[in-house]
Amino acid sequence: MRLPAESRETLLARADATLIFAQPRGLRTEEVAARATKLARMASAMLARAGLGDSLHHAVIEGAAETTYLRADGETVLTLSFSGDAKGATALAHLERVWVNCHSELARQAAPNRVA
Amino acid sequence: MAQTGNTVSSTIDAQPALGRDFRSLLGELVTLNHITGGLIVAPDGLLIAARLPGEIAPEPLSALAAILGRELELRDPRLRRGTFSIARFASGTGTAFLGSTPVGYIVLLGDASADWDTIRSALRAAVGTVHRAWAG
Repeated sequence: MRLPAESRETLLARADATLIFAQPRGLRTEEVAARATKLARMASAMLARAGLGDSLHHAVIEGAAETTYLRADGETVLTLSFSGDAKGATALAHLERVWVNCHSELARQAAPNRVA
Repeated sequence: MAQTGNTVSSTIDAQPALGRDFRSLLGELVTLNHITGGLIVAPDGLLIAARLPGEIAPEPLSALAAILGRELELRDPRLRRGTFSIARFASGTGTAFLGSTPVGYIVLLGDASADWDTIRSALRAAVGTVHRAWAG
C-alpha cells in the first residue's frame, strides 16, 4: 500500500480494535488501535447526542507537535499522523486516498473467500 | 456582603475577566457562522455553561464531551507528542469542535457548512483567553 511520505504513523483497525495494518508497527500498536476505535465510538456517541447524525465520518486532532487524522465507518478505523506543519487539506486528501485504497485492498482480499 | 471602597467589594463588583466569564465567551463563539450551539464542560463532566438548541439535552452531551476530552488527553504517550489542543469530529450532517483549556473543554456544534479555519481560529483564541485567565 502506498502511504504518504509525510505520514509519521498509519494504522487501520476493525471496529472491534482488531489490527489490520500499521506502519510502523511496535509493541504498543495494538493498544493504540484499541484507543483509536474507542475514540471513534465515543465521538459517534457525542455526535448522536448533539443531533449531528449517528456515526463519525472523520476527525482531526491537533496537538502541539503533530496532528492525527482519523477516518471511520461502522466497520473500520484509519488514522494517519502528520507533523503539525502539514497542510490540512493535503492531509485530508491523503486520508481519503488511503481510506479508499485500504477498502479496495480489503475487498480484493475478501473476494477469493467469497468465491470459495 | 460587599463593602464599598475595600478590596473585597472591588473584587466582587469587578467585571469578570473575559477568560473567566464563560457565558460571555461561549456567547461570542456561538455567533460564528454555521455554529448552532455550544457548551463549556469541566473534565469531570460538570456543565459550566451551555447555549444549545432546545431539543438537545445539555447534561448527557457534557458528560460525553468530557469523556471524549479526557480520552484525547490520555492517548498513548507514544502518540501524544503534546497534549491535544483542538479537535473536530465530523459526521455527514454536522461537526463538533472540541477545545482543551485548563478548566475543561469548549464544545461547539456546527452544521455541515461550518468553516474549519474560521472556527479553529476563534476556538484557539478562546482557548488562549481561558489559558491566560486560569493558568497564570
